[in-house]
Amino acid sequence: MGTPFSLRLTLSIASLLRKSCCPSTRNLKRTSFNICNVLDCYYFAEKFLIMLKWAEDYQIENLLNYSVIKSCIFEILCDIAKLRRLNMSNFDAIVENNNEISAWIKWIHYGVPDEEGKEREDIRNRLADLFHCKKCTALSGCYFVTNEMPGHLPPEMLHPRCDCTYEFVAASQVKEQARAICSVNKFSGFVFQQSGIRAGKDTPYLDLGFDINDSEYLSKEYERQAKERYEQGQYVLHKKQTEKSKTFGQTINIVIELTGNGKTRKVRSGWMVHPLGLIVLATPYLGYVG
Amino acid sequence: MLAQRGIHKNYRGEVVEVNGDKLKILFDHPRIHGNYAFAWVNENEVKFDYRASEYAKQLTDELLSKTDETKHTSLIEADVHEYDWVQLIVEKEEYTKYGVHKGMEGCVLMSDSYDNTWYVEFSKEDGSGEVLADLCVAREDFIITEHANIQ
Repeated sequence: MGTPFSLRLTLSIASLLRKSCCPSTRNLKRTSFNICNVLDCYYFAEKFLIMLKWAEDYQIENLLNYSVIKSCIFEILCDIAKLRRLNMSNFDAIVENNNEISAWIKWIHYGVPDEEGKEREDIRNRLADLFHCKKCTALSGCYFVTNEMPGHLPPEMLHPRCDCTYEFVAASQVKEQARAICSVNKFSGFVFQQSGIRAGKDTPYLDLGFDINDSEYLSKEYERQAKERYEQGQYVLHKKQTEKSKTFGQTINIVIELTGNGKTRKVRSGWMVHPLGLIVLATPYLGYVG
Repeated sequence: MLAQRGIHKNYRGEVVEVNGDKLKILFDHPRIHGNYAFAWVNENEVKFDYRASEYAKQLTDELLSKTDETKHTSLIEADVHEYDWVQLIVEKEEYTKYGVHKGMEGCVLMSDSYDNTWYVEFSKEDGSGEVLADLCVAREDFIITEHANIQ
């Protein structure tokens, strides 16, 4: 059912595009074919053909403009991804010159510098003093996959009258910039100390045979696995983070697999998303997976 | 004098007015975002950090036009630190709707705060270590029961 239908779909799209004298028909045709082979094409086909047919019927030339069509394809892909929660690595296979399709977006709040540091904090402080949404300014510069992002694509991304916007970023760029930081103190100074022990935070690690002397190993292991999973889009938004606490930033959950004492356990960990691909460990143990 | 108003050495701020060798500075609290204060200092008591962008200056001008400086003369003394163990001392709907009640204890997980509200993780009381909720708790709603002992 997949391939034959997708071929018919592609030929239909190519035919319509040719009529519009679109300058990059060949590239878009190849992209459409690849998309249909990877995804369930029915939803895509229905939406896309309805749009093109409508444009043709009403002879609305603007809608057959290449950049508009490309933008529509992106929007539809994001919808599909959200509906179907696909593994985002599929999108990495669909890359063409000038037709790179990515499921990653960079959140943008006007005026907030991407680079962390004094200037960003000063501007965020000033914006907060002027009653700009602190949750939005915290998100500015951060990378999310479209099917697991706070809020949704415009309009009004996070809340009514939200001024935020976004831009697509290449998966390759996210992979290049992704970094995970887990302070050794999270283990040596929290989990295996009085504060953590009172909350039972040390329990899962003791069960696997780890103790305070393994803090450095655990922090490096957390960093390695979290970076890998984040850059592949394998994370979920932290459901137990309250709206107010998002002032500090968006927390995501990443599964970390640990092996010890002949056992393997998967634990959920909480990471704060920072700009430009950085994630920082907030809490090492939220619970077991499964 | 400034220390009595909560403005300590190494605190950063923006020059908003110059009068001879005196500078009026808008100090931002380094850890409690949203808390700021105005103070006059001598030129030789400060050092240059960086030049603000035009956009940042516009924001400051806008803030100055809307702010009553007489209400911002001192900064809060921050006594909360990351990994401090705290106890909720109020019963408020904004906490109870997440299952967190008066008397429950949690751990501060961020070194900074916004408007003197702190990021506190409350774990389930069964000792499993699983998280009940991550809340933003106002400073007046909790007491510190144990300070973190981290170097």
